[in-house]
Amino acid sequence: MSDALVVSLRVTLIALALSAPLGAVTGFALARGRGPVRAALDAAVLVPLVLPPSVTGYYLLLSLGARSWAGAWLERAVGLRLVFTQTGAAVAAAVVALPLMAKGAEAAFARVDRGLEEVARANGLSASYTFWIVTLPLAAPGLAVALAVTAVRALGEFGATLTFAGYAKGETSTVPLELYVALQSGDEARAGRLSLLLVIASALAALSLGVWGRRAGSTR
Amino acid sequence: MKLLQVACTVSIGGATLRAAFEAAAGITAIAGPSAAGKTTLLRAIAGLAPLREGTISFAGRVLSKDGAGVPAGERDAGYAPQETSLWPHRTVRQHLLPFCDAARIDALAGRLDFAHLLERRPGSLSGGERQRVSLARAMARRPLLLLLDEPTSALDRASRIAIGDAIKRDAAEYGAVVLLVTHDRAEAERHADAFVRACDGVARSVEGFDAQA
Repeated sequence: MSDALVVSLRVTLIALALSAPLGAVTGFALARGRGPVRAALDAAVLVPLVLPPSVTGYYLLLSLGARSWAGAWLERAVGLRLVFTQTGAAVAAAVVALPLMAKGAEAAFARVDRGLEEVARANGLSASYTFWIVTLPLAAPGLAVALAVTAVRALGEFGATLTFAGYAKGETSTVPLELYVALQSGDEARAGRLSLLLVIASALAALSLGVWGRRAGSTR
Repeated sequence: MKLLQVACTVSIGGATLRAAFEAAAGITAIAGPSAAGKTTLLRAIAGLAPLREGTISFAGRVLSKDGAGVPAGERDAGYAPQETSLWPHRTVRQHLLPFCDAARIDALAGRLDFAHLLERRPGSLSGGERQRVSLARAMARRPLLLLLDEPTSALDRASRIAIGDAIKRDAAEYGAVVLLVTHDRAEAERHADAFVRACDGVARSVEGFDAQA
């Protein structure tokens, strides 16, 4: 059971490393962008959220699987295989969780009072310096909430992972996948323990979200 | 030729304000009824609001021309907005650190009387204390163009006079052009070297605080 937990934590961490920076940048673009380009980006970001995860996994398989052009190139050029590997499971979790990071980051950046940035600019600070000392610190509590939601979603990911990365013991065998396998093989005791593990992890995440959420709501 | 030259039109809601005046080193008080566009005019000079048309130039450099202009961060101006816009996550000292050295911070804290507040955050400051910090932030780099939007409105009469004296003395040391939006006749008449009145869609130089000419 601890094997499954270790795999889950690894997959979640890699998924966060992929989705958190990309989601934060996308969220900033959504919060500050205007017009049709922003609308198109917004719709594209939401696709993995509205699609059933198994469908997302299927399209990942078509576009990044071993028989796809990109998948073949990845394996030839950098020796990276995604199907039946931990990286593949992390990519699936990252794609499915990305919308939550992006929309959470968008909300966090949108909450920052533009007047506080304008006064920095009008007093002679550069745009990038203003971002580091004003925008980012004020968005930080909201970004932390978005990160936690993203982590929980990645931890619980099942459909896209199974469809895209498949089940490989020790590689893609996260807690949700092991739970499914345990039930299939009639090991109900193990299924119960694995479920309890996810319940505890989710409860801890929900608790910390409550604390961070209150902090994000009171930036003054 | 005076340092600051303003000949432009700015949008205020559905209406416009046509501004035509020049300002030399020293304090130019800008008065006029509320919603006349004084704040928008200051924001345009700071580079935060676009011009509908016209030109703003300072010391021979064109800052804004029609729709385009030098970015706000590169105008070498100091700006204290009406709502102070202090940064909630930074202490008073951290508001000034990006702009000047420790000696300048101490000097400003003495002149504007907030030395006892340096380690506090804006959340625990009164309206008047916030205004002093906002003023210090605008003045910290010794900018040659100081844009102050009702910077002492939350202070009592006596402090308003004292802070006005401090602004005048500090700005005179580096020869700044100060645009001071104010509704207070006593403050304006004591500190201003020149007057601009914004009223009925026009902002221009006048002889005194209430002068309509």
